[in-house]
Amino acid sequence: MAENTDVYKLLIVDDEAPLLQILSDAFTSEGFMVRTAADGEEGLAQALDWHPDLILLDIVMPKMDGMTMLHKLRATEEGKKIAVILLTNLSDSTKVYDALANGAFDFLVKANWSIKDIVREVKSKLQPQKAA
Amino acid sequence: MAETTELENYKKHIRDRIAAVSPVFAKASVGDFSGDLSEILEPEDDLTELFVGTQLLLESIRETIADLEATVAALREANEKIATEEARVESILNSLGDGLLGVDKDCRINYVNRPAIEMLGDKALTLWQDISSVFLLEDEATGKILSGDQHPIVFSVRGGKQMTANLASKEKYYLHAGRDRVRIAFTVTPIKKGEETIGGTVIFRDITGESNLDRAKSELVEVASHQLRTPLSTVKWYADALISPVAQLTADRQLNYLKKIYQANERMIHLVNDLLAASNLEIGTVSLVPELIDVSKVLEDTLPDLAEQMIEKKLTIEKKIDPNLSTAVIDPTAMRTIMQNLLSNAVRYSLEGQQIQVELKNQDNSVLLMIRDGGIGIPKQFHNRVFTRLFRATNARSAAPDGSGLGLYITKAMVERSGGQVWFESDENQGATFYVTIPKGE
Repeated sequence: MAENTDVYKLLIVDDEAPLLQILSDAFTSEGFMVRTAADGEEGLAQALDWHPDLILLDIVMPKMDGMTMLHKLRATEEGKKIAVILLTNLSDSTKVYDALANGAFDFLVKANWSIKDIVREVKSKLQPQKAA
Repeated sequence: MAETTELENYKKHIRDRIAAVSPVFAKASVGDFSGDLSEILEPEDDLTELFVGTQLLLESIRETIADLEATVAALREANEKIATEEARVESILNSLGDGLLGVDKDCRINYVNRPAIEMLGDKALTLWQDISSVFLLEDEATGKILSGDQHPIVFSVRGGKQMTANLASKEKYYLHAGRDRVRIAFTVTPIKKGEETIGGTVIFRDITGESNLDRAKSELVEVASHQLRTPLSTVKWYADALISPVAQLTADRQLNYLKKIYQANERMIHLVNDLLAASNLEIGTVSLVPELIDVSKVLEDTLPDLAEQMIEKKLTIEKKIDPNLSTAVIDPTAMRTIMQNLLSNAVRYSLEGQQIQVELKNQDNSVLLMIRDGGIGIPKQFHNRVFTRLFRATNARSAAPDGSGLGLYITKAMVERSGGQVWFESDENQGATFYVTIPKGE
């Protein structure tokens, strides 16, 4: 079968509960295994414990922000290779470029992307050989 | 013998003639040229020509004097006019809000008006100093005090070109005067005589106020757009999920999604209202009209708005209203805003199942409103920033990400403009008690 039947593990880290919920619902419907975290501290713990295939990471969060979490993640063996897509708002652009230097895979601006686009983006990052 | 007598007679005749005319010469020697020789021109003799010549001379002198006096009078009048005009110009220049400096072609100061002296200090009073040693200008980009050709005034005068720097300019200039460092706007204009630059004028003013207002507005816009993005994304994604769901959604889930959209929208409404209120306060377009207000009624009218949130968090409210409560004197909208802000904060930062206490007490000159909650409280290190614009404590941000940071800023402004006072007591995790005094009528 040409179809890839792997179930991917997705960690979503965002401090806004409604956004966390809708993304979680959408990706669950798409057949992903989803875990969520509401701040960088929780996100880092989950990432190191659960080893997700990809992380959707918000930047502005209390306790530990996305930038710091990414930095700490990349400093670990397991964390080096996890794909990370940053969720951001335009006003964070300087932070975004720093994060890209830190090995984030990509970034997207929340207000400009539809759920379908995000799902497509995540899938393409996880299955680069599959036709879009 | 006859000869001697003739000679004697002639000598006497001459002497008589000279004696007749000497008063005129005596007067002339002291500057009085009014003498008249016409009476003694006759009879004609050897002296007549001399006397006629003298007469003409005296006339000519008199005419010349008259001309000179007329000229002097005219000059005096002209000088008076100039002096009056100079005094007028001087008073205009000194009543300008802006500082004015004049320089010669070598950039040495040859004029300062009073506002300039006030801004630059007494050292500006010494004329003929090089302008770059009195008008100490820092370019924000380099942080250095400019000198020589780098000094905009010197550059402008030497180059014969006008230059302006103001709030809109990319370059920011700071004037160093004594211990002050103020941002200024200025215009340098060379004074030209034909093609040659013979000096320059500098007009300048302190734009600290404008600069702060400008920055405050940009900050407000930046924060607004940042805070709006989350509810905008929420509405977008939930609506998207309802319109074209990946899999069929249950009716429960659909309702839940619609509620999320509604709440996000409410958040945006509150945010925009807060921003407008804060903006109006900043710009000064708020006009408060005090009326006789029953504060307990305002309390009752505000509670229903919070009912849903209170039910969700299982909060109760205890009201203690002084039976002798007088009417307060305050603008009704201001009172509503104050009540709403403080009550919604109490609800927002309470923990589940807690009680909120509201008390209204009658005091001598005011009504005291007290609102107490037992929730997350305000840590001591943030106490001095609580009422500042856009400030939110970190624990507040974690507990309730959807605050604007403007509520207490607006509340304080409203209270103080209405003649009251607001203060609080709080500790982290020990809840918070807010007190407001509202003035009473008579």
